[in-house]
Amino acid sequence: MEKIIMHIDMNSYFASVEQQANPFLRGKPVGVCAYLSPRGCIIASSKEAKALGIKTGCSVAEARALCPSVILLENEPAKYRTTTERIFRVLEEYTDKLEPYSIDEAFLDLSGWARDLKTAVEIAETIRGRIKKEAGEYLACSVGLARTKFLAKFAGDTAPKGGTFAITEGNLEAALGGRALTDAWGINTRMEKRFAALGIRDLLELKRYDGGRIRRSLGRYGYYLWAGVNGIEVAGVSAGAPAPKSVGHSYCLPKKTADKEYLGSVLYKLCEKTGRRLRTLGLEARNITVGFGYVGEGGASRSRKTADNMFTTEEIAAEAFAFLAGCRLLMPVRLLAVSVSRLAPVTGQLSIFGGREKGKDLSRALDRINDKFGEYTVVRGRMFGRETAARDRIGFRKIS
Amino acid sequence: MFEKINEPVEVLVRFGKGRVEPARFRWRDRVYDVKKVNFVHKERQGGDKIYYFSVSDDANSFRLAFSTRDLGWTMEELYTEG
Repeated sequence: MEKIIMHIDMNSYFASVEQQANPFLRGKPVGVCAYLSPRGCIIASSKEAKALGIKTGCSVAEARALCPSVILLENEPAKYRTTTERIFRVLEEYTDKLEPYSIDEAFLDLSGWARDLKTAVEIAETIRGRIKKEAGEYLACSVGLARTKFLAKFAGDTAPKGGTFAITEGNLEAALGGRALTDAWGINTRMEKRFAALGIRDLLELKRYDGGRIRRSLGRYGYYLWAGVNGIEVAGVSAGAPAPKSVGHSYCLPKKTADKEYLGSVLYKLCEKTGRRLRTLGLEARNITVGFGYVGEGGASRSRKTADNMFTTEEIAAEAFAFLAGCRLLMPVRLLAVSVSRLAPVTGQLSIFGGREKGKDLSRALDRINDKFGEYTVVRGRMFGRETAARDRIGFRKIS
Repeated sequence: MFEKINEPVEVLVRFGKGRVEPARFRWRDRVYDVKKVNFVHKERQGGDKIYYFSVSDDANSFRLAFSTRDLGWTMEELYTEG
């Protein structure tokens, strides 16, 4: 059976969804932003905006300087999630192994579903047509095909917008030739420097390098990358989204301040959002990372393994507040972040340090009320007045 | 130009094969014919499920919201050229 992996990447996804919803935005520079404040960041720009130099990561102020008539919209997560659901419903019909990689990217293992690469290209065309018909005629996707996941992703990133690119043994070296190391999945500028120290400057040179030497010099990760460009499968496509390794939230404050009372109320909300997601996933956490960023540069963060599992918002908040209380704030803060990791399914294990069950039951009861009557129907006093802060935002790796 | 509206609106709806689509609506004493339903998405707000219909005529784009709890329609947003 021929191994065939497909990578699908929606083009200018959030901006295209906005242009799908409002036809008067089509053909115009559109940027979807995390926030519309001048320091807010563009998280997706339409192809027309990209042509003007307005790219992902640009600030609102920079985008307006590049093109005063650019249409900037605040992101609407429900819109993108609904569209992703529709797209993934289409994709599920073509394989039993669909791995959502992010809100706008997925891998499909077509082995056994497509006879050969030619059939896979035909499937790509069918999928593209169905996405247009069932999710929106303005939505386009790039498709990559190869024998491994790594090369399928590389092919998808190389494919023209709205087109398909297949990598075979015959064209692999031509596809890699002259391409920067950072064009490949998993190679950042730091890794690029480490490769450069071995005299490797592009992807073709990496492919032709001695794998054993790479492993000795750069360890297992370096070897994975070498295997990737050589068409050796390392990971494979998993059925369904991989389990999350961490759950967290961050927030750019509308009011830049060193006032710990204000920061505390927002921090508590971030803990509540983190706790809500953790509980929805049926998980507990054993590690917490809390951080803040100053206006301008710098900030601080702390990651800590906790004595007991965290499940309730109070348990997360206790750790986060201990960090904040111990910090001497030197400048106004612009960003707060909370994240929990070392996740494991909730157990009925009793704690030797004291009864946690009452708190867990209370959290579950509050969650049920908020599920039924809407978010923040019941809130802790600490969060009073901050219900509208740090509202729902979309993250690229978040599927739901 | 975008304008947030959030006003109740009367909507005439077409029920098709597995589809429900706004066909015409009356808002601020004017009747608008929907030329195209461009996008439909949904969102849960507690026990309520809201369906949003992004529709357009030749000059405007509208967002209509249908609350499954109240069975009521709201004109949420308007976009006009210029």
